[in-house]
Amino acid sequence: MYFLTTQDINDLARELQKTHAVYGPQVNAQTGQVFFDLLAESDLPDLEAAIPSMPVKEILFPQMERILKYSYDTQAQSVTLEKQYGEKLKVLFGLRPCDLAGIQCLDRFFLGQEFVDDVYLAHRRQSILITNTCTRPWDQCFCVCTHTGPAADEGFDLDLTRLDDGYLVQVGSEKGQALADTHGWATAERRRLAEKAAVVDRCVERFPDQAKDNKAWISRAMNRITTGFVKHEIWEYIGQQCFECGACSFVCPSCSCFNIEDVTLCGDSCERLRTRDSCSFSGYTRMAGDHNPRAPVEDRRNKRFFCKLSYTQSKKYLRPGCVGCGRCQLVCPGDIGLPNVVQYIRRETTE
Amino acid sequence: MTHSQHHSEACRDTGRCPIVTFPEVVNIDEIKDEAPEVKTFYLSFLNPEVAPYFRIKSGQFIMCTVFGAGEFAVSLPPSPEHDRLHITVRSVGKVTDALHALRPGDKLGVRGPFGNGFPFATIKGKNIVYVAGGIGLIPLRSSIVHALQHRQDFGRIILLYGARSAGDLLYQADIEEWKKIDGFESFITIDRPEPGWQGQVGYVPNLIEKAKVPVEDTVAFVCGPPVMFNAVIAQLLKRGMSEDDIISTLERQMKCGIGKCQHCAIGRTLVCTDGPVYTYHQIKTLGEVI
Amino acid sequence: MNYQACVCNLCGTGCGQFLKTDGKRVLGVAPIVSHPVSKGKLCVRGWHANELLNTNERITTPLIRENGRLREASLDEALSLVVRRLGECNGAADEIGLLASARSSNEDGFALRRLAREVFKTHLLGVGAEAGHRNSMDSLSHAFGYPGAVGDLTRIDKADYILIVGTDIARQNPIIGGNLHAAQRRGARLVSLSSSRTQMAKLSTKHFQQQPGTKALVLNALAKALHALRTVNHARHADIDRLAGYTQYVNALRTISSVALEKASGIRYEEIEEEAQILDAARSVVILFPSGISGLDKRTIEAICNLAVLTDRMDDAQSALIPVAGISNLQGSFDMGLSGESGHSVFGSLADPDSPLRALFVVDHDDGIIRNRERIAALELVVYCGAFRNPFMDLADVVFPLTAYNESDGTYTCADRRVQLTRKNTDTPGAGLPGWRLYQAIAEQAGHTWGWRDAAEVFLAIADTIPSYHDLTHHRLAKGFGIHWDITAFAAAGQMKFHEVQIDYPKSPTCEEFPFALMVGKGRHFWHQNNLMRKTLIPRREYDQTLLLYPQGYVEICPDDAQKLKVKDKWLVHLTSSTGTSMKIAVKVSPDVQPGTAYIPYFIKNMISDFLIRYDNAFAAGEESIIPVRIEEK
Repeated sequence: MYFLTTQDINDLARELQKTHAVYGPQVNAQTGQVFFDLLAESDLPDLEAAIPSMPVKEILFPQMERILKYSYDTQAQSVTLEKQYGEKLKVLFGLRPCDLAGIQCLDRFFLGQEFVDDVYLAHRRQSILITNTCTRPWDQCFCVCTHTGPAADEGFDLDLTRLDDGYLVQVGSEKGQALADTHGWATAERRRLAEKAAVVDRCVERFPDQAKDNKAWISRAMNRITTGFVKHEIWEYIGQQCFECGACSFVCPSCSCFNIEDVTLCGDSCERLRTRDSCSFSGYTRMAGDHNPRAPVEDRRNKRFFCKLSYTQSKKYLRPGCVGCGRCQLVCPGDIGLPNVVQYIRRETTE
Repeated sequence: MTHSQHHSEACRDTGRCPIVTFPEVVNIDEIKDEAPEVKTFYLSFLNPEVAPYFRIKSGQFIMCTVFGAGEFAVSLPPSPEHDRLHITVRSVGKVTDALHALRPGDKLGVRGPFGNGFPFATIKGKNIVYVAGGIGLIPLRSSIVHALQHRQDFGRIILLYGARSAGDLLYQADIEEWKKIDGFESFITIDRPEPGWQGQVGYVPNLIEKAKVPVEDTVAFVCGPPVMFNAVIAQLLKRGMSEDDIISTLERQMKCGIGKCQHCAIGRTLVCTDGPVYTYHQIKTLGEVI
Repeated sequence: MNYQACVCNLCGTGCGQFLKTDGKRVLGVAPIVSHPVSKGKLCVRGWHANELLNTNERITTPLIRENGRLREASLDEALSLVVRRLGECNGAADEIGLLASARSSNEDGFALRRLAREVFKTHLLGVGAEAGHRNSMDSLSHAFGYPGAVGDLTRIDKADYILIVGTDIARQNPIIGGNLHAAQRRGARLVSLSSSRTQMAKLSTKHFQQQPGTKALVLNALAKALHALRTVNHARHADIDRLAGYTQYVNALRTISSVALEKASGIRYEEIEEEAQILDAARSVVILFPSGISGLDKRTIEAICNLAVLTDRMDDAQSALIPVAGISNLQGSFDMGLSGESGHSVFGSLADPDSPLRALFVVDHDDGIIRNRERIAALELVVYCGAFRNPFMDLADVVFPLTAYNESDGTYTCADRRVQLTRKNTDTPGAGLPGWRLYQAIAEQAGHTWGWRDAAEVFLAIADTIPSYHDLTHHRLAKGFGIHWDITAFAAAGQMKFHEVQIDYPKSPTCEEFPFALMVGKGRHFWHQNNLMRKTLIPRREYDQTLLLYPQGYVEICPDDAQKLKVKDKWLVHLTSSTGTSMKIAVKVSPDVQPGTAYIPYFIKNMISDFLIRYDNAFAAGEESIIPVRIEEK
């Protein structure tokens, strides 16, 4: 446990930039929108910025990624293959706790099952995760309902908490400890923990007034979804509002579905593209030979919320698939972001 | 190090070889017309170090890349032992059409083998009934060959197989070979009578009655189009077979084969890693229609 | 920061879109949260713009046809060839036609028109999808004094009463559809008038499911009921009765017979009277209707304009009347004067085998289907300019590469007159040029000096020439999310007028022999511009999904009719029209169409070429076109 000044934090960011690709929150000047993206050499992570508009998974599981390139010579009947990704030293500097929870979901899913996803692993293995405790909620937040914030409890390498006169830095891994050791940071006094607790408490207290957009007390809804006791009409009502844009999956920090397609470049050269996919699309489950086991849109919606909120799925992630960031509600042209679906289900329950 | 060398190393280190992310290149040694729109491709690995470690279980599948067209999931018909590596594919879409246009000597990419495979360990000593319709025989072939190679481990081995016409019957030479094996019973049918056809006529579910399929100490492996599948299941259940003894293999659109892309999710299961082989009881309780 | 703000280039909503780009390639997409219309949302097309912009199906160099094949050429060679060959044609005698793109920027459109007039001396201009939008522009000009939307799209968010006429906005302009759905949830009354139960209709408070072809009648009946209320309630009566055309209009409305109305449209007048009471009580009214290729016919749009004027709510700060364009810069293309003039239609010249047309200059042809293909193939010279490869290239003698929308600066005017600026954020693959630069180079080759150095300078010329753009500059547009062009530039703006109406009760053209009223539309799909969608991965898969289930296309009929015909979903049937054309097609059984009607999506290729060819006016009539057909089991 260390205590650093803002200057120390900035120095750390600059120093890491020399050896790592450093990603952090930045504000787009034209629109005021926050992105968690690669920092230019002159830029520092904006640790006061609001929750990033897009999930941080973009760095570890990009929207579109070339994973393989090959060229096939039909005359010689020969093929050459080339791997298209490599490991890079990355720092994710100033992650919000909800985004960290998203990464934990992805880690458990991509790395913790029978097979390891090599592509994700290549992004993830050499990444340093530095979280940033939220000192206030934003309109869309409901991490207090999903137990993913406002402070992170595990899974980070370093965790920063803004206190009145500087940052409390907590170490969460050997990687983080190594960073601390090489810098010889000043040890924080014990009272700093109490100060942090006060910051977190103040943040939680502000939720009722500030975070008004979404409330999703998900445990009751989880029970209903797991046991299948949600009425078909509710799913139909939800399906009717689905514009089939896929946005909810694209902005969800824990959604991991992808599509793989071989795209011809020119002549016989071909790229294998891995792009994010969404279970809301009707072509998602279609098989060659025109059998589609999951055609109606409400079935597809049902699938998504089952994936996020059922106990069985939660076992895979060791937590519910929802991290309380509220992004799906923001980008949905209908009214079926996850928090609202939870509301529908709960409303039905209370009726 | 090329990815192929990397695979060699992984094989030596672990003693097994699931090719997970990068396709290993195979040569098409031979192409056989199996039926209209159905061809069998005999394959061999270009990297000789991988081949010995590429050990399959009956009921598993591979992800096969047709270079320039894409990748698709295909079940493995060869038996785990003493069999040439091959796949049998009907052309049903862009990628499989491209596969059918290839010549011997062309190359394919292979990842796998993936999937759980048939539960042979638990069915020793039992009778096995194979019920297949059309190309549904492809995923069962491996298991049939395996069972016949270990004839002494099982009771009766019965094949009920049907196709639209005599020309659509797959693996006819194989079936002739199998018939020579003692204790192998086969009932083959086609949908409509046709000149020169001496065998059964009618649909597969009707064979169950004809074959007097046993129920005690018996497992049934069922694979075929949905209509046939449902009718067969109904018949078997009617005869008193338990849902746990009816075993099938499911097909879904797959992109990764390793449980990540989630295209093949049915309810709470992923067909690629949890399946593709399920008991009927499991299928019924997956939480989604199949 | 790799995220660059721009305007989505697909439909006419004009959503705010970030492209994630390293300057060489587009890596991803994000929505702009603070955009006043799209508010952080994008539809399936917008979310996959990265796939489109990464396609390898780009035109990257000039091409010249030689011995029947296109070969690469230098820009100079292609320019001089085009100028020489077009120089041999007499533009003033209608020998040169230009087919502009409703997807091009205003700068490109403006330069193209200048090229047509100044260099080629031709009047033969046209934009794809223009017929529908011209109806909208003409009607709006007459009723409100300027050719553009009244009010803007943000008014959906506050209006009391919203009427959507025709089309499935939830599919065509999904983000507007989303805003409408949000309005309904906050308590606005959302009313749909469409003969099919579209997704938008399902999300509406009230759906009037009229017989095909009777939208105008139903709208006029609503006007009659509203007028009756207003006459009773003198206190609320404004100056509407002094507007030009009022007397004729009201007299015509009075003649509407409730019996005949119900017989023709299937809707009871009492139901309309109830609706009129709610409309009467509304303080603000927003009316939306489709414009462009899925647009409405003239009399329906006139009925809409009349109703809007009659509500007496159009000057409320939350009211609007918006022709919702299906293509990004359809409105801008009209503003730039790219639509044909009466008597000088490039489409007319192409359709007429005896027209003097000898050469055609085409920009970014967008439709999946090329009409008048034989006529075009027989022309002496066809020049194609585009960013993406396109079947039109097969007909072209010379091809020029253009930039995609994110590869050059440009402004786009969306459905509600909002002019927005997109900055170049990614390099062009190959030798693609911004349209205006290419047209300037052609002009220069022909001896004209325009002297534009960048798109901002072209825009200065636009502001100088086009009155409604007089106060706009790239500099002003660079801040915020665009500016609506100035309606006060039109002298007549604010002077409302009624259209002359004739009440008729369209009889269904169906008969015993041809009992189904077939509607041809694309209003219910995301995929209308499938030329672009086919170059993506996920949207293409979704498009194919429709056709995979129905590989030969489908005709949608209701379950009752299917039962009568003894057909089931996916069965093949013969569809025969009253003119004798016929096609084999699958049946799609759906409760969303009414008994006696059938719906066929426009994008099925052989349908257009073989089946619809004798119904060219079906395109002009848009959503309201009906073809009497017979459906028989194969």
